[in-house]
Amino acid sequence: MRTLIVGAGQAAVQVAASLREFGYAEPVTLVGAEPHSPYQRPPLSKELARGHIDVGSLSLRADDWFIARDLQIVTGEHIAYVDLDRQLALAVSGRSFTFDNLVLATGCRSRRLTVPGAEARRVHYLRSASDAVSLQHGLANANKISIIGAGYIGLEVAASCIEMGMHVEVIDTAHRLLEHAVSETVSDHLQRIHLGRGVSFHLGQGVRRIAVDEVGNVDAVVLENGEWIAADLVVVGVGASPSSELALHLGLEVDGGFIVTDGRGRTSDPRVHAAGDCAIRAQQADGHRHRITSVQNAVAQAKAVAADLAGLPSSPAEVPWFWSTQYDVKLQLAGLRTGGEDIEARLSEDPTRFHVVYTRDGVPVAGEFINQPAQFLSFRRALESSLAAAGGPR
Amino acid sequence: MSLVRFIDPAGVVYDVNAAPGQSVMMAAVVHGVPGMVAECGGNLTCATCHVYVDEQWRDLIGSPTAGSDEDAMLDLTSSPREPGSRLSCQVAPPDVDGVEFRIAPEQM
Repeated sequence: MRTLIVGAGQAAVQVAASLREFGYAEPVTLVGAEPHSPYQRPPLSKELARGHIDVGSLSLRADDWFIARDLQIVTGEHIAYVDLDRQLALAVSGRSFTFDNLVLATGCRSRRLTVPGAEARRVHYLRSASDAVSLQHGLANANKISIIGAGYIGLEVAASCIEMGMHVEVIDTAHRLLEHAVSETVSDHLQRIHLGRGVSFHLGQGVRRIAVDEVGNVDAVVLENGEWIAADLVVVGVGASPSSELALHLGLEVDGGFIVTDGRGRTSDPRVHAAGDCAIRAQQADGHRHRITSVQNAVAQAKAVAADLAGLPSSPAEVPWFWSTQYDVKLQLAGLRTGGEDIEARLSEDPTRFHVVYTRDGVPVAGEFINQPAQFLSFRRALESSLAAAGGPR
Repeated sequence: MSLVRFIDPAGVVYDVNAAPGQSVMMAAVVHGVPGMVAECGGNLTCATCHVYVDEQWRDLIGSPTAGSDEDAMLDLTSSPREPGSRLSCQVAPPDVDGVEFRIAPEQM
């Protein structure tokens, strides 16, 4: 039973690793579209300030690790067509791959800015190692940076640019930072930190267009209110959308572009599994559907897929968690919330360390921690214990 | 490059090359040393890269700063904290070859 994994990111590598760990001895091939061997994405936004990005130092596993486990890695091949009946996948290059089991771990891509001028030179995105290298080259000759999007990518890049001594403006249509991800308390705290470091914010402001100079470079970001923000480089961080072309072409059930799976990673077609940022579980432990794109989620989904393919029972549901680092601020989140929870900020004597807890009927369901990693760990374990005690859905 | 020695919970010895800039944790992970869970990838979030450093190496490797995040998290590890306990994501490979790190038996 040959397994073909489309993708070579965190989820893809975890499927392969767990398959071998679970005793699966059949051929496994990972096919990635990027030119690099599998690497870690989260450090990219933080490595920007460190001189040069060495993709090799970000490897998820050493080359000999793949060889020792008889895992075939193919890079630089974009799978564009799959025939499930003939068990055949075709790359754009014409190269073909055969399989018995197919796993889609195609990830997400950056959502593009669509306003006039968005295709100008020196408008950057940050998703892949190639993006990061290109951005770093751009930053070497830039001083005035405009960042469109006050989400994780935008804020982490803002912090890196400030650390490099640049002038940074952050623009978002939302009225507060990380609007859909964190509480107002945490938004406000992060905004104060960034303001204190010299970042300027333009919140509640859409972008009308990117003004371009006579040679095609970015000149300014023009806001909906007519304001011009001079910029010699723009970074766009307005979210990501799943790479689900193959899933659509195979007629799999998708939701907002995400491939819908059950708790074992099975898609609506029993011949196909999916894991990672491109996939969404029909139900998380709280019975609701959540869009979660994180390392933890990718790893959890990948383990479920591998267990199913290896014929093992699935492991218990996990508590989702996530982190972001901006300057010396470590933000850590855990749990699931659907709205309507009671929110309580728990301050400490040190104003740089606090957390916010979401409770439902008095029971903690999620939390946001600022510079309290030990408390965060205890909190996450408590959520895990109550999830295990509740015997949540698998 | 320095050669780092890991002893997994079963007592098996692994000698791996740590690349420049890589933490001791990452050196174990990229080479697939068993028992190194490292759930969070080196972000000081999970305390699942717990190792023991034997007394002869402790001066070289150093101890976590009292009151630091690593220090606080070592109180929450699954295997008991000992004087040589470290979270290996916070340890840079030493300049000398052959320093030993025993991987704590329970990580989660």
